[in-house]
Amino acid sequence: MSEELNKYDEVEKAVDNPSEERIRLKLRDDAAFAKEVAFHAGLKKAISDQGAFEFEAMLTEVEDRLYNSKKSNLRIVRWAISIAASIVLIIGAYTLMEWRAADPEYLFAQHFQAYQPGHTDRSAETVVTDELRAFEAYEQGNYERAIALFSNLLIEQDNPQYRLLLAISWMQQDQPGQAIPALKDILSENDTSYQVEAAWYLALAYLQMGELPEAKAQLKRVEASNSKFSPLARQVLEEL
Amino acid sequence: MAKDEEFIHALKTGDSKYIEHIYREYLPAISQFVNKNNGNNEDARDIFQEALVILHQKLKQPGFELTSSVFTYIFAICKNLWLKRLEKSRKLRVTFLDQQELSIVDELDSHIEKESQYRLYRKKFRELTAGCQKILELFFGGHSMKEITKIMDFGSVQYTKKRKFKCKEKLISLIQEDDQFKELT
Repeated sequence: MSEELNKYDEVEKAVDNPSEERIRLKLRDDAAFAKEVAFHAGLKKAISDQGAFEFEAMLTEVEDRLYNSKKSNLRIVRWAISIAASIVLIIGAYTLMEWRAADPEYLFAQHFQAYQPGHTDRSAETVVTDELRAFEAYEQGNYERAIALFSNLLIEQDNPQYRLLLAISWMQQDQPGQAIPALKDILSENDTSYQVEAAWYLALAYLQMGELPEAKAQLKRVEASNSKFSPLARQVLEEL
Repeated sequence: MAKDEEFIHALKTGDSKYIEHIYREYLPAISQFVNKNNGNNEDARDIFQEALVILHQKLKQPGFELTSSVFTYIFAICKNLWLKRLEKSRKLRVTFLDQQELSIVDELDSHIEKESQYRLYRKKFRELTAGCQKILELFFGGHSMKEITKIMDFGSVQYTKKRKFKCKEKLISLIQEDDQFKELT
C-alpha cells in the first residue's frame, strides 16, 4: 500500500516542475509518462478553477429556473434557492462531520500511536544482538528493518512482545492485514502478557482495514477488560 | 449588436439575468438542431451549457475577440460538439458545418476539446464525497500534506496522504469509467 500511495508522486512532481532537467527529458522520451502528466495537469487545472465551478453552478441554476420549475415568481424562486442553499450547507457540514466520525480509517488515524516498549537500559550492553538491533530499529521508526529483525527473532524464540512490535511495525507500514495474524497469535497464547495491548491494536488494525463489525467486537472486549485501554476503546465506540 | 455586447459582458462576468436571456433566445435553435439529428432536449441543454462554458473561458483570455455574432459562435460550437458525439457513438452523421462555422471551430478547436475534458473532470469531482472534494481542492490549490492535515484536523500526514490518494483514485476511476471520457480520448 505504501508503495502504491507514492504512485502519483513522480507525475505530480512533473506537473509542478515540468522544466526540471530530469523531468523535461523524461517528458520528451517517455510518451506514456507525458500522457499521464498531461492528464494530471488537466485535472489540476480543471479542479482548481473556482471561476469555472461558479459559472457552471450558475448555468445549472438558470436551467433549473427556466426548465425545472413552473414558478414564475422570481422572488419566490430566489427565496427557495437561498433556503435550499442553507439546507445544503447544513447537510453538507453535517455529512462532513458524519463522514469523518463514521470513517474507521479516520478513527484509526486519530487513535493509533506506536506502542512504546518498557524502558530497558541497553547502553551497558557491549554485544550488539539481533534483539537490540530490532528494538533500536523500532524505536527509531525504521519499521521496515524492525519487521525483518523481529521476524527473524521469532524464528528462534516465540515471544509475545516481539509479536506485538512486529504487528505494530506492519501497521506503521500500512499493512494491517499482516499485523492481524500476529496479534491474534498473542491473544490465543497461554502467556497473558501483552494480551490487552494485542487486543487494542487488533481493534485498531481492523479499523485501519475498514472492517467495522470486527473492530467494534474487538473494541467491546477491550472496553470490558478494565485496562488502561478501556477508556480509549469506549471513546472510539462512541465515535463509531 | 448592442444585444451581443450585453451577452458578451454576461458571458464574461457570469451575469445570470442576461445568461437567462441567452438561454431563452438561442437554446430553441440548438434544440431543434439536436432533435433533428438523433438527440433530445436534454442533449441539447448539455451541449449548450458546454458551449457557454467554452465561450466564457475563451472570452476571459486576453486579446480574444469574437469575429462573428454570439449566436453564430454558440451554434458553431454546439454543432461541432454534437457532431463529434454522433461520430463517436457511431450514429449517422447527417449535418455538416458551413464555411463560417468551420473557421470558428478551427479557431477554437483545441480549446473546445480541452474545455470538454475539464468540464467532465469537474462534473465527476462534484460526485465525490464532501470530504474528498475538500482534500482535493486543497491539494490542487497547492497546499502541502502538512497544511491539509492541519486544516482537516487529521491525525497524521501519513493518513492525509492516504486519504488524498484514495480520493484521487476515486476521481480518476469516475472519469475513466465515463463514456464521454472514452469519446474524448
